[in-house]
Amino acid sequence: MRTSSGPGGGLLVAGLILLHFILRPVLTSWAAGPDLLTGALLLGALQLRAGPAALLGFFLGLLDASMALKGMGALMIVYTIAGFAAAKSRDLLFSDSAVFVPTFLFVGVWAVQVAVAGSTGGLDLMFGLVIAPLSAAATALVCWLAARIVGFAFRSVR
Amino acid sequence: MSYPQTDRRGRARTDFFTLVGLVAAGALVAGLPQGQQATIAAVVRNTVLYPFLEVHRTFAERARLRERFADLRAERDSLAQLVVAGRQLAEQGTQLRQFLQMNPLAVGRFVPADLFSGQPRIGDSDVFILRGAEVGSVRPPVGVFTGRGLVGVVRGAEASGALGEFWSHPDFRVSVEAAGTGITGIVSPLQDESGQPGMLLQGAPYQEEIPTGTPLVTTGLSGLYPPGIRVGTVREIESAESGWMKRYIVEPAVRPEDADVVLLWIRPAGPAVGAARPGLDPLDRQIAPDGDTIPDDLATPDSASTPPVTRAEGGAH
Repeated sequence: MRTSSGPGGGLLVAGLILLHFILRPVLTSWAAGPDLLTGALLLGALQLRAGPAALLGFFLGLLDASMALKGMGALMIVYTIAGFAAAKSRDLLFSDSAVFVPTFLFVGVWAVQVAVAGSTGGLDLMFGLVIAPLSAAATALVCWLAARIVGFAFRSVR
Repeated sequence: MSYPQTDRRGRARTDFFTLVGLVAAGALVAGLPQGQQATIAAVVRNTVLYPFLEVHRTFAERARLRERFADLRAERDSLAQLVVAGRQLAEQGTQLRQFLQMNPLAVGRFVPADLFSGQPRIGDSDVFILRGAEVGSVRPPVGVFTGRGLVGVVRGAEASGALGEFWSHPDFRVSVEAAGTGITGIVSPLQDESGQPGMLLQGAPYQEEIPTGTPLVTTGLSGLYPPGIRVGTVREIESAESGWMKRYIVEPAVRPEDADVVLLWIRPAGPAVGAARPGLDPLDRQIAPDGDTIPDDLATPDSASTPPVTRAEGGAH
């Protein structure tokens, strides 16, 4: 499966970011809720060059830290590096396999969540090995479904 | 072709420098003092994040209102039950008094009002303003309470409103009885370690123990409040005073921030409350034989709304 590029891809990323900030109180109340912000960053990075992807990560980190009122700076750095690394990894890993994007999202979100927890001092074994992978799986599922819906809608329009 | 490769290398360099620049900016922000980080967060929250925060606030407010609505329905249902039960008691009481050739029972009058906290309007969290059709006509001091318990006292009234003090005001005192024990004392405000206003029960007998969780209700001795209004519940013993008295920390029944719609009790006109009148039953010490009768909708055995019934049943004095 490939993510939609162009307006469809942009719409998907923007929609996920909007959903994340609108539903944030609900999503953060679940221990292993989907991390739509990281999902949006990784999907956006797949369509951007490394520099703009890093810039996207920087601003998403700033927004999330401002919303959470903690981890400012640390979150910005983690998301910046995550955006850059995700864009770079596309050159190495990108394939037309149907499971590529969900797998990429699962691994990417897991790694980012562990990095975020490590940078803000909330990392422990339970989080790293149970909660973060569950959240990553939920994120991959939600983002995959959203990508399918957006992809289908844009194909229908065309 | 060499040009695209050069271009790609150039872009890669630009991307790398972008990354370095952004990480440096992030590190700079991380190194800022908390106050400056909070300023940056405030700017972002007041601009980009403002619509999202408004949505969160709206949903939180709706959830609170739904909860309040459910509470009100539960309160209404409980009150309806009490009113039904209380009518029978009131009728029996009236018949008994007629049989004993006593004056009709007077319970005074209840005036509803909207309460507005003094913080931030007046700048004093211990005072409040009341608005209501009949509020301006009351003659202070007048007791203020809700269905859940005691709120404070009206200190001054004018044409369309009144000014009062919450129980958290340093001058506030109320005479209480530990429900079901007969132990009495005086409750005064207390500032706990967290800065939250609390209550302190003083003057409880040394030889008696009030169990934790025991409700404290007004005795009605001062005539300011009807007897049986819940003041709070005993949380823990605070200290023993010189081996004569005990003091208890009390959890208030109504916190100042939770009071919005309240009732004012206009005591029955007549002789001073608590003064015995020759020829009258001791039960009439706190009531005025001026012809007031129990309104049907107030004649319930609930201690908060029908103190005379409670008292007649052997409750607080």
